[in-house]
Amino acid sequence: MVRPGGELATRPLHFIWLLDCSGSMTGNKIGTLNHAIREAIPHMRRVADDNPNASVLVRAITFSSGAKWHITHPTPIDQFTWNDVQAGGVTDMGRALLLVADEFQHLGERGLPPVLVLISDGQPTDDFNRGLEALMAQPWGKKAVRIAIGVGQDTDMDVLQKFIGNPEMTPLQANNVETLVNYIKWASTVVLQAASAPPSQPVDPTTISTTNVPIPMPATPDPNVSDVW
Amino acid sequence: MSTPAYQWDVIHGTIQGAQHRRQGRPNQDAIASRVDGARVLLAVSDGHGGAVYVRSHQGAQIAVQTAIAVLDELLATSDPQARSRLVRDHLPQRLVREWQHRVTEHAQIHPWTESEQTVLAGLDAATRDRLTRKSWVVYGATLLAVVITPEHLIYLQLGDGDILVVSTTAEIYRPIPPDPRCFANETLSLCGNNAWLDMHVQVHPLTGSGPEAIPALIIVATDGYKNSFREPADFDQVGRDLLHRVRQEHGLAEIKANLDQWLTETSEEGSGDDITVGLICRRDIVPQADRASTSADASDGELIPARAHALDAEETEPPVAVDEPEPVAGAEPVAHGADDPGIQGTEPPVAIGASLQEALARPTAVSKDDDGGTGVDAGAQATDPAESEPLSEVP
Repeated sequence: MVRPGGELATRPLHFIWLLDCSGSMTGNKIGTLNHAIREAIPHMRRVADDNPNASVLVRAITFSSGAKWHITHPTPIDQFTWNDVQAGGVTDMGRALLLVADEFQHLGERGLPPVLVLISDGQPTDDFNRGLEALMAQPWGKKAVRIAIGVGQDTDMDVLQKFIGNPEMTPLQANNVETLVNYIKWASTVVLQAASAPPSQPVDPTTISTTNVPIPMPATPDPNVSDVW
Repeated sequence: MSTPAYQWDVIHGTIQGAQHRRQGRPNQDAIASRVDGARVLLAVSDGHGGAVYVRSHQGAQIAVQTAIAVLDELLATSDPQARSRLVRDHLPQRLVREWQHRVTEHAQIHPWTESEQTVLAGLDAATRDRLTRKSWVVYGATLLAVVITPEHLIYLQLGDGDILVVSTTAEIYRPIPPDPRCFANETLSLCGNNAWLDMHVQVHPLTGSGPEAIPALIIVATDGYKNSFREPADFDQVGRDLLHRVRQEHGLAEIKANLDQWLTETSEEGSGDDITVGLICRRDIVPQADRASTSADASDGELIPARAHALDAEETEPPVAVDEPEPVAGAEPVAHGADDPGIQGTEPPVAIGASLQEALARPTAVSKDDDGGTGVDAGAQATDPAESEPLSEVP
């Protein structure tokens, strides 16, 4: 007998890189970023294979003088390839968040919580708060898994903390190539895994968890590797 | 105009989700029902999947057992008007309080197992302390229920999941609209503080309604079902397809025979979540020949035929059907009918604290909705909070 109901579908999981491509990222920061994201792709595919009820769809936004979609189309991870981003300009982080907020208006309700990975080495040069407010005004903005990685010691970590919006989760700081690669791999695997199968839990804030998707934190950086940024 | 008392059949299906199978986790859903002639009780629950909710599968079982017991007590109230008042003013509180009472008792009887201790040891001290004071939290689950009497249709929902009503003309509607707070992977819950305030209740009169106004089917499902379909319309199609099927010869029996397989396939190709479905079917829309065959089919307890006579106070307890993946140790066992050869046990006495009847003297406040039914969000009731014990704490 034929199963009742219309078309079945696994649940979409939108994974979006938000990448600071300002002039200060020039050199081995942007090089490491490109390398690390490219290297992360096979790991992301493995996580997706282990979670066949989630459809991982990847995109990227770059921000410098303005913000734009680097990869516009939500691309299934098995078709995803990485085209290098280039550095130059200022740090219009707020505009990047506006782009995400606009996109989140159109996401359906049945998806898994989206993942936003923000990587920056500086501080916003535009109205960051306006962008954050717009993002948090969207239901999926509030429920998105928001990860932030600061590149180097000049990063405004307070801004990244505001982006995360959860006092129990702090932004990560990568002061050398190895740590940045490790954190990007962590975001691509551990975070993706957690978001692929988020357990249901009560909305009641007085119960247990302060976040809808608990994320295991990465290992602390190797103290034997010197800070270069 | 009086309405003939419609007869009903109920079919259950519940499956462990594809994701839970991969992770080696149990089916955290539960379902139970009681059908007696023109009276139906059906309850569905979905235990939370979060790591802290180590007993949510048991919490879900206790939730459906509690609902059947409390709602059964409700049906014992012979005056329809008094019954409506009880529903509107006191049912959410009673259900939440009774569930909290039962799971707290369960926790007292059953200390943490080794694996539960391992999970709880990984929590911070503040959370562990909270769980010690509110042991019911680890049993967290949703609750959906439908009650049918000759006079009323009552829908009740706390948390995510869906109640779909299918008319004889295949129109679909939701008596309780989705609560916007049930979004992403978050849901309202029996374990929430003041959970009764979050419970939605709708009461629709049946008396005086024509046959077109009486639902042909009522589908009650955990959220894993709807989340498996690409679009909401694809999920609504379930209602239309099932209506079409039950009108075919042997349709009801075929649904019963295939339901778990359909749900398994749906979970695998869809959400991966556990899926539980209760289907209430108006008997007069089933082909005449099938009405006999479905009755004969009841031996496995999944399909309980309607009885020809009404339930009254002197009658022995009617059978309860429960899809129970594993028994809940220490919880009140819900027995299937003793006259059912495929099922063991007898109905235990239902022990509930304060009777619903005691609440009859309290005031009521009800608003009419567009359908002529009455809708109550428990939180909007006029009951003086001072009269109610705080539900966030089990006495």
